[in-house]
Amino acid sequence: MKELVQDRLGRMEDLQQRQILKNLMTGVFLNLVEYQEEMTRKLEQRVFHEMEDDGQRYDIFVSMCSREDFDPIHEFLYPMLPSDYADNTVDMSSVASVIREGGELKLFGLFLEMETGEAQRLIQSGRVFHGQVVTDAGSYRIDIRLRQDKRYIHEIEKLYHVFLDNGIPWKTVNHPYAHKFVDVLLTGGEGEPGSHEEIREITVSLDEFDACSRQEVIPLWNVERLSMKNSGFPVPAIDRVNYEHVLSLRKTGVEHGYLVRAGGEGEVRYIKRSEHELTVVTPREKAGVWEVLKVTKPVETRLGRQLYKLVSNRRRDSFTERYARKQAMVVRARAEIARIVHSFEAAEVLELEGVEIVEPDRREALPLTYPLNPFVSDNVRTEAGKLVMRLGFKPLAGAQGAKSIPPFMIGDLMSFVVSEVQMYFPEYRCEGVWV
Amino acid sequence: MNYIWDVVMRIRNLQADAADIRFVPAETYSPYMELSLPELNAVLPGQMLEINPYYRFYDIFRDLYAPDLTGDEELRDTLFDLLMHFLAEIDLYQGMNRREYYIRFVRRDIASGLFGGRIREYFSRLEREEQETVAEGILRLYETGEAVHLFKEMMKRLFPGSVIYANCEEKDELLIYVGREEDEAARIRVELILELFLPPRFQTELYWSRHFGVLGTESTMRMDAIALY
Repeated sequence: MKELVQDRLGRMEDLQQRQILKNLMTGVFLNLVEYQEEMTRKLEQRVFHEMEDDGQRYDIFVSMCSREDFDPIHEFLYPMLPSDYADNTVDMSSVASVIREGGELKLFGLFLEMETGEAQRLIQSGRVFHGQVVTDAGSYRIDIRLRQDKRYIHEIEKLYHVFLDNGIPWKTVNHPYAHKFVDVLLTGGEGEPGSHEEIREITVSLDEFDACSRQEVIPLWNVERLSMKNSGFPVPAIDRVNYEHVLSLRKTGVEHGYLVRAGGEGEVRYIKRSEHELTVVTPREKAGVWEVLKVTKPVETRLGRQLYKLVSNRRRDSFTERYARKQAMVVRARAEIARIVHSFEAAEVLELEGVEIVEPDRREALPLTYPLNPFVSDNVRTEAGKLVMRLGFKPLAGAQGAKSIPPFMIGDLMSFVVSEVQMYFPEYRCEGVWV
Repeated sequence: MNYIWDVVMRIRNLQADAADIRFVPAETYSPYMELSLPELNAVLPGQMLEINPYYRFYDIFRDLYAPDLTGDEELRDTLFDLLMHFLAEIDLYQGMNRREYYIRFVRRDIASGLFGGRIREYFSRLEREEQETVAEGILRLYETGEAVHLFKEMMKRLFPGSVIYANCEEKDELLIYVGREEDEAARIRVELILELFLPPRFQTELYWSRHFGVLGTESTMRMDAIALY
């Protein structure tokens, strides 16, 4: 409209009249137009926001850092396991007894910076590597083996159950690191170390894999463990069996997601969330302390140390996304698959090229991807005989942030996306491949 | 065409700017019509359009052209033109409802790459009208879940002469007769609909301008024009 006014004013020949009209336009008319446009825009926004969405409160962000760089006062990242932060030392007497008598002993953990499939193959091959234990009395050659460290995967599984208990729909956690942790197991050795000797150093060599093994890294996520006390006394619910325990969220921040971890079976009936409070309805009558998981909303950190790439299962906020979630219908069209894939921020380096349904026995190669939600079971169908939905992907080179994705993670991102498609299409077994 | 918004819509459909039209108050007009065009349905960019301002907007314009008012004619004419454009712009929101907004949002989502780069690319090459059709189809897809039905409907809307045969007995196969010559524009449209609305388990077979022969249906059994199935 502004250009139109300018154009029409410019065409007027009588300068005096032009002046009057110009004053009129700038004084009243353009403000009127602006007001009208502003109102239309607001109306549109109101329609958009009618489609509510608070799913973003429970997005999980993950990353990793080395133990010495770990920041205990980080704005939103906490170690997945608090025990990681403690230094764990190996007891010499048990090392000695394993070397003498055989058996297995965990020495320490390693992170393998390689494709998950490759790491799995290495673990399954059962290959024996060698190393050395140096003590104050001498050094001993040892044999070691790798075993997958499933503690972090179990931690995700626990989180899944907490989500269910709290009545929050589960979203696959995008954790490209969790599947690459291994335990280094001592399986034997040469020599007879005494149990009194003090360990100076343990070194192991993974031969050609030395370049991609990292020690002392700890996975982080934005889930904080809190203990929260009731504010005030429990309030009886009308049935006189249950009580409402109110936890105030003012102090810890109302913008975050909160999950209550139930102590035992039947302890929590249900949990309500309002803007400022979390209400636990429970048969427990005494006020007490609740174990709460706080899913912290990430903030821009200005001052941070070098971390591994921060990834998340966050989705781009879009209308179609909200609309689809509101409808109870199951959609079986290709559009739905494309939407699921491309709605993730993490998928910006991937482009879905094609979807194919194949017979399970016509499979050409082993799938590149692995399921991230093995604990979510589809209780209706059996696994056997399912058709395979093969999703063909192409890495997107020109995408923003594509360069910052290290190559050892891209397969995991694909697995994450495929696992999420799997949740929507339980009648197929989903796999991802490169095309 | 009856109203000023008709004009603006038509100009937009011609991919021209509504600012090219200049509204002027008509000297002689019918009191029962807002537009008084010498040729009823012809509006071209750059045209002067005579308007009866009192048909709907008597309260707004009654004092602007009072019979005893002379002088400042250019000012009044320009003001009239600007006000008419403003009113036409407001008019366009008459038919807006929640659904129309939703269609708008879906169009925006597709254009921002929510369904991937390839679909965004194809979608951007559609006409405005077709984009609306597809976006509306997406909304209905999520409401009803009836992918195959919508697939057929979208094909019908974008290619009125198309026929789709389903062969669901032994395998899930769809035979699609598009009914027009194969060219890039048509290929993009077919691809887009296939990519969006087809459930993944279906196989498709495309026939462009030549139909496969159906015994007993004369129009498909012309010599030299039969495709093989």
